[in-house]
Amino acid sequence: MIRLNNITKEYPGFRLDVSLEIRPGTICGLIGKNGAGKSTTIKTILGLIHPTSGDVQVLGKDPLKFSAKDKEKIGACMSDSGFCPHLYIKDIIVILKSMYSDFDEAKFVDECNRQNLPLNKPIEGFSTGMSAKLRVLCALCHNSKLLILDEPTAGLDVMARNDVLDMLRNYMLEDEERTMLISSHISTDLEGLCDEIVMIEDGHIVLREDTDVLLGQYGLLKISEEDYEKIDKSYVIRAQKRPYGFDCLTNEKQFYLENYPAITVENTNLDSIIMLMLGNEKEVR
Amino acid sequence: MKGLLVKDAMVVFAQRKKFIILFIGISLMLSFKMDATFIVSYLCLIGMILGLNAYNYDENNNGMPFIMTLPATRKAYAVEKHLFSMMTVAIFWLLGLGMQFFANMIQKVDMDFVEQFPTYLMFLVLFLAFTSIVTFVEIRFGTERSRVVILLAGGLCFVIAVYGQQFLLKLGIDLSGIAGLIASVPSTVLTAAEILLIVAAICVSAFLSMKTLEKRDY
Repeated sequence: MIRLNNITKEYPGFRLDVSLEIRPGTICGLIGKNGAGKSTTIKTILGLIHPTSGDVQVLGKDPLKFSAKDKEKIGACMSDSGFCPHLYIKDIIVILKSMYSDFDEAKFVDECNRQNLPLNKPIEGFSTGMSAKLRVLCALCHNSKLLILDEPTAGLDVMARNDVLDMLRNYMLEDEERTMLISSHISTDLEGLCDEIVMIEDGHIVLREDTDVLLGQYGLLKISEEDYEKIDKSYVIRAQKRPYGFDCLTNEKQFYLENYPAITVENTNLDSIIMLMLGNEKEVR
Repeated sequence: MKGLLVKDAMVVFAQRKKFIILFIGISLMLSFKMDATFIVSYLCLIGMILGLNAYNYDENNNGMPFIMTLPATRKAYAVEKHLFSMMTVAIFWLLGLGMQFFANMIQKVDMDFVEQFPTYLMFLVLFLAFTSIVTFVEIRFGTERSRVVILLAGGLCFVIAVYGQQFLLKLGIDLSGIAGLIASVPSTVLTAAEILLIVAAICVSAFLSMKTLEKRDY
């Protein structure tokens, strides 16, 4: 569905260098700190920027050569970009109807009503949550095969975030062939939604794993300096110095549970993995 | 393309409060019996500003990344922007003609529209060319910088018009011969040449807009 092959994009002081493949029917979460390269990756996939080198294939085509028909297959949501704020939702309905051959007006209006989005109010008067919901709805209303969402929940409160995530879940449940790439720096959003997680830092992919594996097989070892020297580090993928010794991220927690019963092995969540993978403290491995 | 045209029409229509001010202004002008051609050219100018505003609204609030994900190619977007701004000029030109006709009827002014029509038509054609060029300048330089570029270009044209001939005379080049030559060309040929030149200006500016957008990162 999406294939980035040795894509590079250079800006002053930043270089993106990624390879990535997203299979049809999957939900892939792109996570990383601000400025890590999430938006640049998404913009490359959407054909909004020209990569310095490398090959991009989306739905089997270079996105820079997409026709209008090709673009109809993609639902895109940008975190801080949308329709002119002077427009009303009733205007947007007319626009979307004339743009997308498969625009589902009844569903769009139903969802607007369900999300309490007024049709007769200029969108400049919308709250942050309402604007975000509208941007997501615009991406979901034309039966797109591929959803690409850049930080759709940024700046939203918990309730609005849940509403947006529910909309996305329902959309994906309607058709198993649909594929989604979603970026966020809020790990809990992705944890409950994505099939796989791609972690990006300083323009490079530092981790790519199925969410089930991350939450099931990965573990956090909290060990003293003395134990750290003794253990087999074959399955330690990151370690960071702590006052009490080391925090080690392992992709085989069972191995340490069975072979080192004395050491503390904790379950991981995305937050703890992010802290270890992307944390500012000095990495020792 | 159709979707983009509808979007821009909606954006312009969203500014309908400004139309009220516009029509109050025109009514005042008509009540003072302004020069007939002034009303038409004034409305053409308003049409141009409204048409160009559609691009400003795309660019403002960081709208371009999203708009470029909508189902239209960059080429289609460039062509649509030129087409839309020229369409608004044409619509307002027609409106101007209609208002003038209506005002003449009310004021019982005897005016031969058929005789005046070529003058009005030339207004339209010139405004279409100017609109197309300004659309390219906006796309190339962005809304803010394009204002500076247009002012500088206008200033340069003024300097060339005022001092150009004197400067060329100092260099020993006399343009009066060329002016005489142009005057000797039949008016139909001259009009055809002018129209060709204007169509070329529109086509070249639209082509340059396409090339600019194709290279741009959003």
